Amino acid sequence: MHYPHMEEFLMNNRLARAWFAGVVGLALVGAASVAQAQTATTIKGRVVSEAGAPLPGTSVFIDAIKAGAQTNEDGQYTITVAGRNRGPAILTARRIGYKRAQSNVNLNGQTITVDFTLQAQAVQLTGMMVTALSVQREKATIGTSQQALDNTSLTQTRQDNLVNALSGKASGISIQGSGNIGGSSRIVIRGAGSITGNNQPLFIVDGVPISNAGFSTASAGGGRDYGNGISDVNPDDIASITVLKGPNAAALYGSRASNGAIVITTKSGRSAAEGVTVQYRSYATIDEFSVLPKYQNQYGQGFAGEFQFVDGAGGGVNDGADESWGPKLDGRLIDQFNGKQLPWVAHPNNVKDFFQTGHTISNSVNVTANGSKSAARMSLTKDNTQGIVPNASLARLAGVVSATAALTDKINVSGSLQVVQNQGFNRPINGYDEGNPFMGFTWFGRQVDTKALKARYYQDDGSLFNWNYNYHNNPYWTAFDNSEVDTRDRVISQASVTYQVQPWLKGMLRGGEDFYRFARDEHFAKGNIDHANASYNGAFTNSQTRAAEWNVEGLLTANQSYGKFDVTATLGGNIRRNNQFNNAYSTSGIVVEKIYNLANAAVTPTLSNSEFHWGVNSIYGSAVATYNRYATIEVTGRNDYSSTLPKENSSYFYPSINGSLVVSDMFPSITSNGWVSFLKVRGGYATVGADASPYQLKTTFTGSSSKFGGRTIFTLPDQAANAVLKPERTYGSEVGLEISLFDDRATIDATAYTKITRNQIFGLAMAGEIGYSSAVVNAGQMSNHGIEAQLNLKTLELKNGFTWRTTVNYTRNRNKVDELAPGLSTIVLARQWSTNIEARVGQPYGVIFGRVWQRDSVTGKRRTSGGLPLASSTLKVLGNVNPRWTGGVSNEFRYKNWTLSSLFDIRAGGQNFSIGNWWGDYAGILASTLKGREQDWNKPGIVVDGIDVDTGKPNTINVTAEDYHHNIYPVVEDAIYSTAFVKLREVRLGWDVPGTMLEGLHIKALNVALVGRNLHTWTKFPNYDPENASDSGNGGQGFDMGAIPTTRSIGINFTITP
Amino acid sequence: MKNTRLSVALLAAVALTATACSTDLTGLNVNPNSPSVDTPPPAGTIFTRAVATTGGRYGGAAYQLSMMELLAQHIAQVQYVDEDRFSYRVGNIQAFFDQPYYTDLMDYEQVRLIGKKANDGNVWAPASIMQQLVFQNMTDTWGDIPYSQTLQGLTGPLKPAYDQQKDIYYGMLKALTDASAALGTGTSLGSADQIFAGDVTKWKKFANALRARMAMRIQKADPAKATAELAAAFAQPLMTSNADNARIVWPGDNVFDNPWAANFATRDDHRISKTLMDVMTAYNDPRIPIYAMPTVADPTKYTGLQNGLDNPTANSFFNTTSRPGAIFYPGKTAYGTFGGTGRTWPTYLMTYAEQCFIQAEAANRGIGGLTSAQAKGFYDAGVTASITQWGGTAAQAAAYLADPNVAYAGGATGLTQILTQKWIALFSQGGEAWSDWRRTGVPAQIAPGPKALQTTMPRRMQYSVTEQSVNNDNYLAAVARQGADALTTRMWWDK
Repeated sequence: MHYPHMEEFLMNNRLARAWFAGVVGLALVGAASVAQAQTATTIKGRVVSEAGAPLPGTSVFIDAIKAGAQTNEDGQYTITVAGRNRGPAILTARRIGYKRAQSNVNLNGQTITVDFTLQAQAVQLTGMMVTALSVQREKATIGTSQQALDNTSLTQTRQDNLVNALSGKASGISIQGSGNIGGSSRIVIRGAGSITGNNQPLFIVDGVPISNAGFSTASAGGGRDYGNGISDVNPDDIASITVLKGPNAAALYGSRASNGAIVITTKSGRSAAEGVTVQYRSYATIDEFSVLPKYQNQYGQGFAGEFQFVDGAGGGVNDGADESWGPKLDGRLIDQFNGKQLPWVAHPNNVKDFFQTGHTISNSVNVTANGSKSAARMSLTKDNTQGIVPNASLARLAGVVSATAALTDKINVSGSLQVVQNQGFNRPINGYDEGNPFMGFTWFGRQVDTKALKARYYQDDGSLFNWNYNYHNNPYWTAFDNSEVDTRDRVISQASVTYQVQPWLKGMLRGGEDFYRFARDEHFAKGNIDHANASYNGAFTNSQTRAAEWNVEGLLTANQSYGKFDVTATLGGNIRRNNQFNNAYSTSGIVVEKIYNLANAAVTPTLSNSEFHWGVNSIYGSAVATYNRYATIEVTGRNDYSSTLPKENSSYFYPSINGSLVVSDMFPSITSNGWVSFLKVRGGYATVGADASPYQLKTTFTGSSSKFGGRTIFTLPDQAANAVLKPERTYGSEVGLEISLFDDRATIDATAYTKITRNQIFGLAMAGEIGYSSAVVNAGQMSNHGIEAQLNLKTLELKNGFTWRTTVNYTRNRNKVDELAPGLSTIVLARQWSTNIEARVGQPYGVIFGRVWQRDSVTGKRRTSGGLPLASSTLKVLGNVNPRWTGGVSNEFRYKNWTLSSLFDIRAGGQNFSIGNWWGDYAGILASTLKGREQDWNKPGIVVDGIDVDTGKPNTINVTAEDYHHNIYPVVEDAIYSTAFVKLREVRLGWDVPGTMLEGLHIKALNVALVGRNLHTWTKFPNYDPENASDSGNGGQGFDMGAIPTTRSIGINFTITP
Repeated sequence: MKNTRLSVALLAAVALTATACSTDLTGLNVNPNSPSVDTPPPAGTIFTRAVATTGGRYGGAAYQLSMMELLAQHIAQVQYVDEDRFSYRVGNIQAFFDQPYYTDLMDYEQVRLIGKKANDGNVWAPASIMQQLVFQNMTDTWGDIPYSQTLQGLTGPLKPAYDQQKDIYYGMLKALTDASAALGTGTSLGSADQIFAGDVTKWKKFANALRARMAMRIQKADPAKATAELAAAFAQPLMTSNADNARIVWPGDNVFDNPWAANFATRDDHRISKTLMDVMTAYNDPRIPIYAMPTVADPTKYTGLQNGLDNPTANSFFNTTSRPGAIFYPGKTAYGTFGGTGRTWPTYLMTYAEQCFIQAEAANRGIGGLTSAQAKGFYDAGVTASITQWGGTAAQAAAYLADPNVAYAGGATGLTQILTQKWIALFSQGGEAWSDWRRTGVPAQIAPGPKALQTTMPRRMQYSVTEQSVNNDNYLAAVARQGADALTTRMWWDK
């Protein structure tokens, strides 16, 4: 489905580029030449919402004669109809999110005034929507797959991360959330395209790209999740989101949109009624873990049924053990960490008790002032989240000021400033590290009384107090005496001026900057097992990053009609610059306890600083021609000049073409039987180029703050730079169908697509003898094929006003690694316990590759020796992290002032290596380990269904459950689980308090809603949340290390308009 | 007014588009954090790092304590005994085969290129000498390895061919000859040279001594070349005392520590080999309390541990066998305090004592222009140098040499004495000792332990598995030429 030859022809051919420039130029010149049209009837008026707010960008037109205009910032429009048109006509007004309105007019050669009041409606198949370059276009003329979401669907149940709010609501996207407070969420549109690079889409806010940088240091081995950049955008401030799916829709945005783009439009002063409006919103939830492992409560700490505490480090009977194969919890008296001869009993809730009920409180005030010439908006939001892990919290303060003003009737200026401050405190550590409570509770004694651990952290002599002194820290001590503080300040600003040069020609100049500063400190107290050198009195780390991206864009847009043709041509240029500065210091040992200062370092601190600068200049253009409002063809082209590619390859051009045909308008007869009211087909082909990271072209020496006896040291890095890199290429093609049935009771928007990424830039392993172990190269190809579909149903509408609407989203993506590099069959993306997540040629991206049991060639059963299964020395593909399909089903019931809505989020297929279950079984902690030891210890109870290697006959040897589970390592075959689930993601019951009840309260409107998130999960995945990955990077997707589960939240939301 | 606004708006848009069209942003892509290969940092900064890497590897725990010192039977493993039974970790083999090329060898290459460009032999010759030292360690471990086509980055062959060991030896001898000749006077590397502080006279002596070491190594396979090269090397300035020893003194700052001390700070896996201890005990060797510590069980006793036991058996000797000497310990460890200032203890690359034993062997064999009458002098000098190098006294050395078993006897016995004393002196330099044993069979006591996985001592290591994925054709060609990629295959100079 892709045509590289055509694309390469265009790429390499200056003539082709000139031709393209000519097409755009001609469109502009042509538009000018017919600007002198005859004047006859003038229709003018104003379009407002039901609340009375002006609706800029509304398309007002007379379909029959193809005359029309868009409303300005104040909602005003003027249409001039040629003198030859006379008589009655239908004037239509359409705008994104509103029902189409019509009015009969008589074209009589005079000036007529027609005002419209539009009713809000979620956009489905028709209506105006924001598309690439923040241009509003009629959806019916768009030839690519795009999906719009309005504010309501994002803030119904408030999310701290905008990306999570998209889950289940749009097709073609896949989202991996996080249970950490302020944790990062991964979003991928139409599958991963890049083997080792970024696979997440570009985010645009009001036309300006913003960073979605990941701040997480989390991996399967530890680190903390500090969230990602997009979570700084406050959902309350968003008016609408358009998801541009894949390279086709996003081609105009260039390199970074080859994974698609998410175009966010924020609320402006224009979105409210005229005058001053104040709105206050308050939201509070309580949060609990949604999943807790099922632990066994019959056997306590120890091995082989024995335990006696002396020093907790092996001095007693199995008292160094951090597993639960000890004595039966029958109340016998045993010396324990918290006292001698205490009853040996289960503490069934010892893990549950450690966690607390978290809460989220969010308050926001929102003031808009809307006048005839200018409008402004200000909002302030304060969020406080208390996590479910003790002593972990997150605070966020977000403020936005935006204003727009019409200086003259031709010049409009607008600008906005968003300031966000995040402060995280004691975010828990992820992965296989003591700082992750679930890791600690995987290696645990089921009899441990966590209340005793909560009561004291220190012994009388000042040393640490714990249940085990070999491998673990007291989890409360970890949470309270090993502090972490992080701050992230973000400022996103933008300003633009538009100038209506001629009725058909508009110019715009826009500048914006996205700046953030991120700093984190981690303090590790004396005795921290994972992070403080035992020879010293503690340790600490600090790192700081500040980064800014600025863009300046100029855009000329010409719009003109030629008979039945509407032509819009756009020509733009953009300058982008990125700067980033990093500083860090750390030491593994300090002298005086609890003084986390460099002056107190006992071990020479490690210091580092670095800075990065890069930029792209671009010119781009598009031409859209619509015939008779039902047939549209669009061509786009963009040329980037990147700083990161060699001079000769730094300029690269990429075109796209798409078309759409509203069949039901072209052949109105097909709507006559009433079954089909709207039918549109569309298709397109696009290619997008991408550049490299900075500084990949020339090898530089690596220095170090560590000196060799005071001598400065430099070394060449292991990876060779490459002076002849080419841009990466993504090719996308898609066909789509949009159909509305049964008087718009059912609408379907479906797309089939292919996305292929070639010439990927990544570090390829080389023969080390050349002096480098790897080199940056262009190689590899990965492809995605899929279907995405959305179905909207007006399931039930009763005369008494009761409505039931249903929306179904469906996404099915098939990914394949087509090639890596000559002679290379696999790239390891991540590794844990000899189990890899790999990109293997011929397989989907992200297969799980691990060790299996030996199998009998005849029966296929496990081979056993001495009753225990034997590990094979070979590794096999055991699963694949990609879901077979994902979907969302939402229902909304409305009756009078009441609204009840729900969202089910569905994932089918996909697996991960559950390290939490694997070690949980090994350590005898999980309820699943009770099988075979429900008797006394001298009556071992598991007979493995296998073939004995010595006899060649079925195994008959009994082994203890302890031996059986200890024999798991290093085989991971049994720890690969399906991550399929159905989640009741959102439920909301809203009530618009009737106006009659508000009289005398000085309140114009009041909405009260009960909300719930993650209320229930249906899954076969045992013990942990199937949704969690160890991190949001490419490789973190296949490992579950008992991450903090997503929280189940129940709360209440008030929206008050005084 | 209207026209002004129009022109301003259009001008702005046009100006922006024109700016956006500017094609060359590549000036932004200059890395401000690190010097590039085009404008390298001072040669000395690269040299210091490379020498630390070389020393860290060949003096290191993974190389010596998990491989070479076990094969030389200076050291035995008391727990985690896999390597002592000839089962080697894939990762370690990769580290020793793959990494030298893209770490220190490549860094020396940069120093060499800088020196060549400046036509300064005092800069490029030390780098070249160190490269030959690394290549010698590598070819002595595997036989044929990539040599002549290496270190050219993306501009040379991307899959370098394996050279035959004979050609590598001829190449290394030539390179050392050239380096020795290029060294003038002065101190170009200065204090950045942590081996000789830039003293080019000492570099010249080291180059010549190393040339003699390599010439002696091929004495069995290529006697004519060996005697010619020995004669040529002996005609050049040579080391004259322990002050000429090539060794790296570690800063001992927790970052760059003596690698044995760094290992012993947290690991307690090694004991002195019974093979070495028995020989030294028989000679009443004054180096015993330096090389070894008394056993925990009996502080009056020094006892060696047999190589190649199984884990439980080895473990049972945990407290009844001697740890390596306190000089290798950093004071406080995870399992006790043993005195010593091990973090700063030097890693020896080549010593005056070793050179004396090479001269003694040449004299005993009557090659390299020496005669058997000269052997005793070199032998006595070698033994004395070794004892004083390890902290013993000249008087102890004299008494030791007076022992009838130690006193040089000449002839075949003398050759065995020379090689035995060299083996003792090469403690902590197991690679050299293993090579001498492979060439000469001395000491004859070296034999696989009871639980070893094969009944003969390894004659080489298996190639890195990485090669089979990144350079398979050349790997297969080397195996076809040299013989099976097995521990038992003998390389060219060992045949």
